[in-house]
Amino acid sequence: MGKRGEGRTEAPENMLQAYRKRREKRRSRIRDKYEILGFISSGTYGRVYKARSRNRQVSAKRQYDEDKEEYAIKQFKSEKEGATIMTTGISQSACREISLCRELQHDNIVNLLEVRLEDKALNMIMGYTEYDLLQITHHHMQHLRAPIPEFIVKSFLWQLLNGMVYLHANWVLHRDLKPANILITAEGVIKVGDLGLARIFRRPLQPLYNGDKVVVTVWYRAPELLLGARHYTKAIDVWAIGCIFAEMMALRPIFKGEEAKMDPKKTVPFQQNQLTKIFEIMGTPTQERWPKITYLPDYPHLSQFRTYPNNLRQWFYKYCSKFSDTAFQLLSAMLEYDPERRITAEEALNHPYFQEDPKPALKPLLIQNVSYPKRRIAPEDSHREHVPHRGTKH
Amino acid sequence: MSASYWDSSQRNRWTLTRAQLLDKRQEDIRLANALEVTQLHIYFANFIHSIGKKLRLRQEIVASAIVFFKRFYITNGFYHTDPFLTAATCLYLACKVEELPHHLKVIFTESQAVAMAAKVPFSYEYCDIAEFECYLMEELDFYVIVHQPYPTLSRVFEDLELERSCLQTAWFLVNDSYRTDVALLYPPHMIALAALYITCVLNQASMTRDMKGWFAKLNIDMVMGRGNGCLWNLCPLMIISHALGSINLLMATAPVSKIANTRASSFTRANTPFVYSWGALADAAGFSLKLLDIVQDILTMYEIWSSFDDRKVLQSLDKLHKAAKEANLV
Repeated sequence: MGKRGEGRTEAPENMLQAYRKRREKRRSRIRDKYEILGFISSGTYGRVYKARSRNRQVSAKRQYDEDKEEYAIKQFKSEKEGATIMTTGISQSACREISLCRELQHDNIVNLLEVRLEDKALNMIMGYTEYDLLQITHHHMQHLRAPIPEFIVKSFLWQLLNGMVYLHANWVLHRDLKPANILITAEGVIKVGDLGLARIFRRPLQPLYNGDKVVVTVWYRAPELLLGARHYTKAIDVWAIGCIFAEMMALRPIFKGEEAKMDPKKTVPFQQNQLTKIFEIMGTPTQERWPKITYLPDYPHLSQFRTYPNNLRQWFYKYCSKFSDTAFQLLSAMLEYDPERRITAEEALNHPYFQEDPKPALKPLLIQNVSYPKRRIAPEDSHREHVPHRGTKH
Repeated sequence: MSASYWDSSQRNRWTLTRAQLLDKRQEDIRLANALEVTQLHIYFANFIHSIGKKLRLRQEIVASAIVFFKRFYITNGFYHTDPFLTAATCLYLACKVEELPHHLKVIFTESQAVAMAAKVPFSYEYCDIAEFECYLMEELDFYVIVHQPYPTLSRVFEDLELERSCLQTAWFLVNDSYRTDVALLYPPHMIALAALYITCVLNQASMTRDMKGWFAKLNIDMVMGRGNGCLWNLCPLMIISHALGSINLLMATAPVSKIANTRASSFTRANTPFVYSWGALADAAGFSLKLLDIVQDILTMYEIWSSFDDRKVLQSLDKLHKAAKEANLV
């Protein structure tokens, strides 16, 4: 009996070459369909460009929504720029983001139109968003020097929760909620973006911690994560939303800690400073407030801390004086220490805060006729000179 | 969507009819024949299983990998690709998707080892798998979230408080179902029910619950009063018809006598105290017909698998490649 390949005219590796050729021939270029308008930003994952459809006939029907004819193209790093693809193929975060976005369909989640492979790089083509929440809070803080109107804050928060209810109902944890990842259209529609850390948490094949030791940017990281929880839940996203809510009202991060960096041995550092920032405002957690806290791996560290009382109300009066008392109640429900007692995204959506005036809207910026400075678009190649790093903090 | 099969890409984008699937495989079938193409699919499911076993991968990962493999061969032919590279890459991608990533080197080394054990050259480098992963993603149209029968199966066993030993059997049947095409044709919960069904027929003597009654009720509920657990009668009938070689309901090309050599041998021992009637088939509405199809596919697969000679299957692959070359298809 002959070996496979014997008498064969084509060696397997030649078939790969032939396949490659066949494939490349079939593919149309991104530039045939989209006009690249410029470069938006870059990070460890790759870069994002702004683009416009070359086929503009469709847009006539959609003129009610100006965002729809513009696109953001997220290009994941290709082989040429790093050895990574040679040894790892598609990055875990690209794999997550693409696979999840491909299945998700919701008004408040970033809208993936198509994915394309070009020059060995993966490209996600998404709906363009004019703003993000980081940009808007900065603008209010530094230029307007005035809080974001409660109507807009409430509308953003409602939509953010609405998107999160959808994600959670579909067993998806976002795990990286922060203002920079909350994208906003010119009309004020929230699109939760960057699902590169998101994952399905239904029946995980291994504890979530084993997959990713560190999740969520430190300022938005829930106390159970900071205390080393191996198993965690949707409540971590709600904590982050609470921090974002506070930041929208106060125009400053509520818990602005210094991140302890990973040491060379790659052990996960204890975030003493971040926890202190939380304790200063929320009070030092007690077993009464959080019965299962004693089971957390880093619970013993707690004795190193001073005892603080709960100062959230004082903080709220100081920085969010323009906001209603119901806003405070919702905020404290989201910043509940005990993840089991923390309000869920769904409960939050039904909170009295959203029943009272001003009522939240789907397109608050359109309704109020508010606009902010547009996203800065650099010429297409300018990113090569200065590539900003995408740190864990914004 | 990821939680709901009904809104998933699996249902809306990646479920085919039997006719569509046959049509997609036409070129391969023309160059070889239907049985050989079926055997190749079983062979590569086995290949992926073997690598998975060496790496002690979870069955869910192996299952997703096989689904990727099958989807890839909907739009591609065996005749112009090397399925060994495809199979290894499918497993590599499945590990990522199922959130238990493995180093490329590990997958590569094991794939090579399993190929070598089968006396097949695997003359690639790491970067070939890494590169091919992108192509694979593209061929899958970037839809990689796979819904599987395992959760339904566990759920039903829990809800009905069925014997754990039976769960084991049903679980293996689901594993083996990936050697058929049912994952491309039917919803995962139907496959779970088919596996449960076969398990119950096999083990009815030892099961405390009246599963015949349960299936009958399920049937009525799902098809609005039609059907009376007819498939329950039909399944043993199919098994018996195989064993006797009298009616070959299944694949015409498969030798019936070999059934005794397989895991399916236990089917022939099934206790079958029912009245068999072909009328039952006519009575079966959509739901039970689907169940019947799946059961039939699984049984057929065991039969083909039992008469399997790896070397011959590999020869068909060579034959395919050669024929494609001669026909200038490559």
